[in-house]
Amino acid sequence: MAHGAADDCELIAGARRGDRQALDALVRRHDRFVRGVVYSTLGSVHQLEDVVQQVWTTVCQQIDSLVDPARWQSWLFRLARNAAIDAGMRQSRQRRTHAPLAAVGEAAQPGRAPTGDLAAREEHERILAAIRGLPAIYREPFVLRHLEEWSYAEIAEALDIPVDTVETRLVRARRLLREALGSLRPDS
Amino acid sequence: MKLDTEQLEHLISRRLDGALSAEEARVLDAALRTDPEARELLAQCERIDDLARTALRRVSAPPAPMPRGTLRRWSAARFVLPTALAAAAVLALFAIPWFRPPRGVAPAVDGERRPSLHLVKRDPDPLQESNPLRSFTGGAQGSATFVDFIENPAVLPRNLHRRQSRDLIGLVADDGTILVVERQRQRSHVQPVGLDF
Repeated sequence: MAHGAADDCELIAGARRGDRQALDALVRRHDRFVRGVVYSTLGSVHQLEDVVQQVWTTVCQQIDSLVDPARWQSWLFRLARNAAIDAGMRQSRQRRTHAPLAAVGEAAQPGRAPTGDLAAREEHERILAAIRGLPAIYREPFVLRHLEEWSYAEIAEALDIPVDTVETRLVRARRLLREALGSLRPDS
Repeated sequence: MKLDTEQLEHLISRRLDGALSAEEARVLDAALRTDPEARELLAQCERIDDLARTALRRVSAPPAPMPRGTLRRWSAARFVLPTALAAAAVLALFAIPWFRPPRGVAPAVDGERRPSLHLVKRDPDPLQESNPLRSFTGGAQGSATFVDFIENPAVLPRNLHRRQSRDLIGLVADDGTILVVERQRQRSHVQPVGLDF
């Protein structure tokens, strides 16, 4: 994992004492991770900001309930994942009632599109669409691996599955992505 | 020994994830030296991993913070703008009825007071070919003329949700009768809700 567990434990202790700076530091340190988890579960950037805000609000409210600060990141992962699952369910309910609006979802993301040439931008969209298209059981370990460089063991612990299963799911995720993407332009 | 695709996929996946043992690395390197398909597979997987890593990090990057100057200006605007808007809204609410001339009052046949209707000709005419109102009002031979979307609170539905999803449209017939029809925006459904105001 990207940050030292010992540092996190100190920040968690500070946050529990009501130290606002410690809490801010935790947010800065792990915000990208939370976003990645929410994205991997939701499978889209729709509602991403709202869910991430909600996760950090829940962290503030429930940080006292974290039994073992050394397992902070697994705890945070489960919080983010559950919030994203709830949001995904709400989103699919809304899609059922407002079907014509569902297509709007991914269209407008100002400021998020990569700069650079059109081909690179299209490739960026294609790979994100392919990742979104993966079944959740393959998408989650794939995103955790590529976003946070988590080891098989860390992914296994977070997802509560055996290490072998993590490996198999990563192999299958890569296979599905290869099939979905077909030919990619050679790296420039 | 030639590895099958599944074995290759596992070894390549482990290499990309930094989980390959020394023995597995030796087997994979041997396959890569002799098998062009293995090299192609490795290149594809590396490319997908690179693209995925970049795309995922971009999509999960927190929004860039605003420059400090912008933040200060925005903070000032945060209080000034809503206050100004609220004042303008209150002014408009009370001032407009005073300045608004009575328009499109329906003819009073029996001396009874009629609700005042805001009737102005507007384009496009909803009685055009493709509109369901046309068939409702008798098509080209129909005697009704489109007047306007009625904005009189007396004839508007009280439920705001309903108001968002439907229009009330006034049609004046040759004899001066005003027909009010309801147009469901979502269902393209038309039905009369009032007649002869």
